[in-house]
Amino acid sequence: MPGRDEPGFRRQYDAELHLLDRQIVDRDGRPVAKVDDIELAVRADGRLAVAALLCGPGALGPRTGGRPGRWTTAIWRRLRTEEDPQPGRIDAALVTGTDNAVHVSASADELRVDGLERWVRHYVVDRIPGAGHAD
Amino acid sequence: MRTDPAVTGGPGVRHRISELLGSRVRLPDGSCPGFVNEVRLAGGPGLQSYVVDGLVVGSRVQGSMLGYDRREVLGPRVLRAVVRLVNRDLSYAPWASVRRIDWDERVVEVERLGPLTDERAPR
Amino acid sequence: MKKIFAVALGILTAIGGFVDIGDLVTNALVGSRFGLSLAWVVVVGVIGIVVFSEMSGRVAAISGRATFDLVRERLGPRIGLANLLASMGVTFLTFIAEIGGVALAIEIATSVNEVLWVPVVAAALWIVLWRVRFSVLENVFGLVGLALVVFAVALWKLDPDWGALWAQVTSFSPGADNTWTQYCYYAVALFGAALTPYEVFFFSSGGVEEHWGEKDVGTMRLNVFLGFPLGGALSLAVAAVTAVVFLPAGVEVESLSQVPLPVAIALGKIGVAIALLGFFAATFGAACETGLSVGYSIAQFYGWSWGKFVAPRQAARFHAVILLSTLVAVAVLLTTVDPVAVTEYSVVFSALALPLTYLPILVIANDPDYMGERVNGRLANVLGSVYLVVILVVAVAAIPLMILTRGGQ
Repeated sequence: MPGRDEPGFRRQYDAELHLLDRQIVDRDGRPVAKVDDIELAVRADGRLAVAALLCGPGALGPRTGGRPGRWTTAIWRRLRTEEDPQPGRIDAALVTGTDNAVHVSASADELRVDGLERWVRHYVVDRIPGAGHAD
Repeated sequence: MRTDPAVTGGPGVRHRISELLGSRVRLPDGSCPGFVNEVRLAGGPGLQSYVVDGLVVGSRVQGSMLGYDRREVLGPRVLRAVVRLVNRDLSYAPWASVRRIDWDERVVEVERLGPLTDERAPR
Repeated sequence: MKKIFAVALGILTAIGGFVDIGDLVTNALVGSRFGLSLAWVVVVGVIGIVVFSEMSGRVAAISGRATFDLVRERLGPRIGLANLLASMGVTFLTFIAEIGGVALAIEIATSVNEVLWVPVVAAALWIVLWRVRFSVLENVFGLVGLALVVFAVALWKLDPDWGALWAQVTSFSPGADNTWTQYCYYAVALFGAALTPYEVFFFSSGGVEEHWGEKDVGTMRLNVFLGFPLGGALSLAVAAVTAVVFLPAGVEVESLSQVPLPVAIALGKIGVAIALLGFFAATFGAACETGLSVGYSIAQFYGWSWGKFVAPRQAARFHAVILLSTLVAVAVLLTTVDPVAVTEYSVVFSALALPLTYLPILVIANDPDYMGERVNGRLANVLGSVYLVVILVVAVAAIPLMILTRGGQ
């Protein structure tokens, strides 16, 4: 199922091969983030079900491991204002299908998982003339 | 199918899939055949309805078949042969055989291991 | 008619776009020192970039995913991060070298010191990356870069002893004045100059941005199969003229200003002017490509939105990275570091960084999940496997050779 067919769901997913590190694309086809980790929730029947896609340094750091991973997580913690910051979270129910990317039904702005993008846009890029003009 | 919530620490508790990947696998006799290399999900429709179907176990902490476990990925032959040789000891622990997951110690207690079936079985 | 024009344009820009500061400096240096005895490496390198670009271009067209996306998908966050740091490091080093190269080309034309030109060049470059359309950027610099054909004309005009040149090509040995380790070190450098990772990042990212589909694979292949080898021929022409003029005189090329001298001898002032125009376009075009590639690789690794086709505010982090790299590159060049020296190291490091980018593309080009029917054929896989080995050997040999020869001295 390469490329531009309507994205659907596989019969089975091998989490690492088919989901982790894939590009998440919003409903307008814009890149939002990567699947940096997957949240599993224990269901009433004891099964582990996919609850959400986690994204951002708070999810990627622990997966990277070693010193680079610890640094990633530590820097991210310092830059966040909350007491116990949590990584960006996209509810599994928002996923509309997968192909070479993971498609979600919301827009990037609604998902609010790209804090740094908005910060850079607001404080850096928007202050430069011509920031709003596409190619 | 298991219905014992103690397996994973009670309903509603949330974990990351990366905590499972790389966890040590232990058999009832106390032996350790390897580590969780991959988590297979099945179910649907809708991603929120997919559950852990089983764990792929390999002798190394991390292992990736780079997709070469599937029948249809053929080439280049050299690469496929190397990847399959390195990963020749993969086995599968279906969810029904998972007794207990110790998330803190990163240990998965498994009743028995079976062969990798379906598309993941290296030929 | 329009279609033929578009195809021709693509091929021409691929020729001009192939040559950058790394190719110019390394080929001139090698030509003056080893004659054409290393020409075979350029051929091996060009076939390598053709194999690699064809695969990544096809993957981009069919799967809609650019190279660094796939690097992370196949290598995971840990090795992927190592590759990101290595590839970005090399690309950034090349970026510095290209900006320095543009400034040097202007210095040769104006006699005003290169360091003074650096901020001007960088500012112009950043404006181009910020505001100028992708197609304009690609076409203008690619076409003007074709001015480097003047080196081939100069070679013909110099009318060397062709038999002697051919004897150099087929000698496969370092000659009397150089050792085998030096020969091997420059073989690595030439290979790295021909097969730089950024070319593939740029090529595949451009393909994704231009929404290549299955129908564009043919055109893409024409560009790669014709454009890159012709670009390689231009590099060989540079090596050949320096071999003809400098090798017998025992002069080693150490600066960019020496490179157009053979053209001056053959064609006079007008030839030099054309050569300088070619330098300028080739290095400026490559500076754009490397600058964008720094942004492409980090944005694709972390899943940020990226690209020239959306407004900068829609790809804020991508553009912030480009702005920051440009500023840091200026700072580095203002320390009066020699761009030619930076180039020499960047080509060797690019040989070192290559395997971890090449492997994921080779794997995914075989994966029907991504590629459907358009997986690698037999030829692509035979060549792909051979080059996997070649790339690994070169990468392993690069650092020991660099130490043994103290950077080729």
